[in-house]
Amino acid sequence: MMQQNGFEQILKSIFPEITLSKCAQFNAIELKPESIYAGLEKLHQQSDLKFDMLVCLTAVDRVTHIEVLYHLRSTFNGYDLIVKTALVEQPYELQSVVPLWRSAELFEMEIYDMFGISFSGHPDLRRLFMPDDWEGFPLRKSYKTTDVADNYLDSHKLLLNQQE
Amino acid sequence: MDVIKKDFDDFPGEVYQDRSGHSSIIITQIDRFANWARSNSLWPLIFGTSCCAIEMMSAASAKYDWSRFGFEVARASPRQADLIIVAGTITLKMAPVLKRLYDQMPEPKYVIAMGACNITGGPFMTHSYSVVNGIDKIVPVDVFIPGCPPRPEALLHGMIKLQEKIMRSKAFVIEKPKK
Amino acid sequence: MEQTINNRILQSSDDEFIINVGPQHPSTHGVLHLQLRLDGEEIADLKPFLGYIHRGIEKMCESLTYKQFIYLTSRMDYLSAHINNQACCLAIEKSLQVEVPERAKVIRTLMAELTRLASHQLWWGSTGLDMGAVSPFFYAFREREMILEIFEETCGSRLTMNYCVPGGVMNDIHPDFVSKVKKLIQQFKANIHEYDELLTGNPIFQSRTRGVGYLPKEDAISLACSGPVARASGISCDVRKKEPYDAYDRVEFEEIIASEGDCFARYRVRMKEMLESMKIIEQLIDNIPAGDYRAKIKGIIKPPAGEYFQRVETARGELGVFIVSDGSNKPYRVKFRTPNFSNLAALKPMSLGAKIGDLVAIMASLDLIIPDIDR
Repeated sequence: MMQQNGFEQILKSIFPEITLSKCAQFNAIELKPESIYAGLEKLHQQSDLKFDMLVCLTAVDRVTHIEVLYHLRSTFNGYDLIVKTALVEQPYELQSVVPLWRSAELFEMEIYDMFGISFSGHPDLRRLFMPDDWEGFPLRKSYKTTDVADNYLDSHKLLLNQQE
Repeated sequence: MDVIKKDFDDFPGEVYQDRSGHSSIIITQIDRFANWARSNSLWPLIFGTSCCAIEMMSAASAKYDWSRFGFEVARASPRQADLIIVAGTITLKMAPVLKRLYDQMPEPKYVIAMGACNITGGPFMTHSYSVVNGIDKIVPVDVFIPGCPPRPEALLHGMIKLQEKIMRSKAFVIEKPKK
Repeated sequence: MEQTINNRILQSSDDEFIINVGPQHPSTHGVLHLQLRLDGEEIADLKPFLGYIHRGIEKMCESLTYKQFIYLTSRMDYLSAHINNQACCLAIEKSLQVEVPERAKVIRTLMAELTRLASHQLWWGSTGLDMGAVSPFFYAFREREMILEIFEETCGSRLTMNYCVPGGVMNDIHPDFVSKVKKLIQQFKANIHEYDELLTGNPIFQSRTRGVGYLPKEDAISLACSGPVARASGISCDVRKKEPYDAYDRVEFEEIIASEGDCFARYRVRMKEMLESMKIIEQLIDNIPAGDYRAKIKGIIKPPAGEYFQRVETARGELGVFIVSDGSNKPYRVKFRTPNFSNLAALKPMSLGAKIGDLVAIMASLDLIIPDIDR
């Protein structure tokens, strides 16, 4: 594995104004939502880094904003990098990274389903887990889970005493 | 005609043989006879959604061997099954599917709710937004088997209980379990 | 409503037709729903529909304490239940900076390898079942039941053991544990040749798996595959080797890698992995160190605010546990990066152009656990 300094230098050569921070045990950088695709494309293409695997794509609702985390890995030199971006204004929207990593297709669908972030350019954006007519985005902090299931059964006439 | 009464422990009724050894006369009640046949050839539908399905497979494997009790003809199609063992959590998205499968089964049909998830929602009872808290809200359940997941012996016990229940029922009247 | 239904259905021309596989289908091993566009018998397009067993575990974790939420993960990938728990415990221990006693580390590793063994055996049996061979199922359960008995003696449960706790394991191993594991190894070694005789050399099985469901290395990387699926395509990705946790740094074993990338390669990788698991167990079983089985930990766990990540190798691939803490006794957000979720994406490139009958073989070789995808 390359030294931490060398890694930082390569990153600086791509993003001159970036500060390297830590997220869990990994290096992390933060990008603006507008420039996320361009930035990730550079990380994907850059010959020294070559992040060819999107291990995970997730989001955290921080109440004031939604933080989206891209966990990248390079199978060539074993680097891990977390790229963060913060979405402040609704409607939340990001550019899809499916052209770079195909694993993003399912991850982005999941985030759309759970957080309501739409990804422009995604080939097939739909609710992945919840039914099509589901209301709300469950993993947001404002989502309340009490009585949701019973109300759903009731409104869809699935309860035993509603059946003829 | 001379006949001799024969003792068959398994048969619900009296069996008489003539001198040639053929069992030519049976005296029984239709209810008992039909229930006896029904309860010993329950065909379960393979309906495993999660963890309990593995224990259901264990019950089918050599160590527990549910074919000893006549359950071995597990069917993949609801139209050929008369018992649905709901093994695993039922979510809101799965609830219409479960109901449709139940509706597709021919009468008389029975439901076994295997595992805590199907009784009350189990570990997912309070904080989950997408789990049906008890499948008896959707389909009438005959036997509940607690456990997370229940042991194969528990499943066999539940199925034997169902056989006992069938033996006590009326053969031509369909009685659904009340909630 | 009309609009949403239209969106869900694949477009088909006159010569093609659409069929649905699942959610209730015997070969999907659960409640996976696939929509296939068929051109004759060939699969022209494939679309997965998920969520039939989505239980909202990630949301539930936010309202449970650190000690409670660990055990929900047993219900995700129930065949690697112990390894899932282990991942959560490791992440919590990392946040609290607790040193786990050596004895606990070894016991955990032993249990994890036994879990892997039991999981691969079930996979082997059900693969045979999917290919039309019923007997492997019974042979696989013979040794599997032995393992489950060992689990039951020590942990009290057969499948969802809930044996890991932050700081170590719940209780000490049963006095018979060592002798029973040794007996298991002995019997397994005597019987493993039956596995090969029954299925591996079978010409029908070979013709159904060789060259079927090819996954190139580039695709496997781009789709973030892990576990035996990725290793059969030539990617070295075993977390036990890359980032050793618990007692994996002191055992010697081989990372099994194949390059063919077809169903048979995935089959071979798992078969050899069983032998490697045996090797690990053999090295550890005689050397369980004496001492505590659990470190002392406070009743209420409050990790300092921040992010914690731990990855482990389950029977199906890389499981990542990502915990965001805000300093309270409940996690702020928990994300599980599950192996099956990414491996599912490989189903499409594998099966495009294949016959519909091959889909069953491909799904069997992926070894999907649906609750692990849906969580």
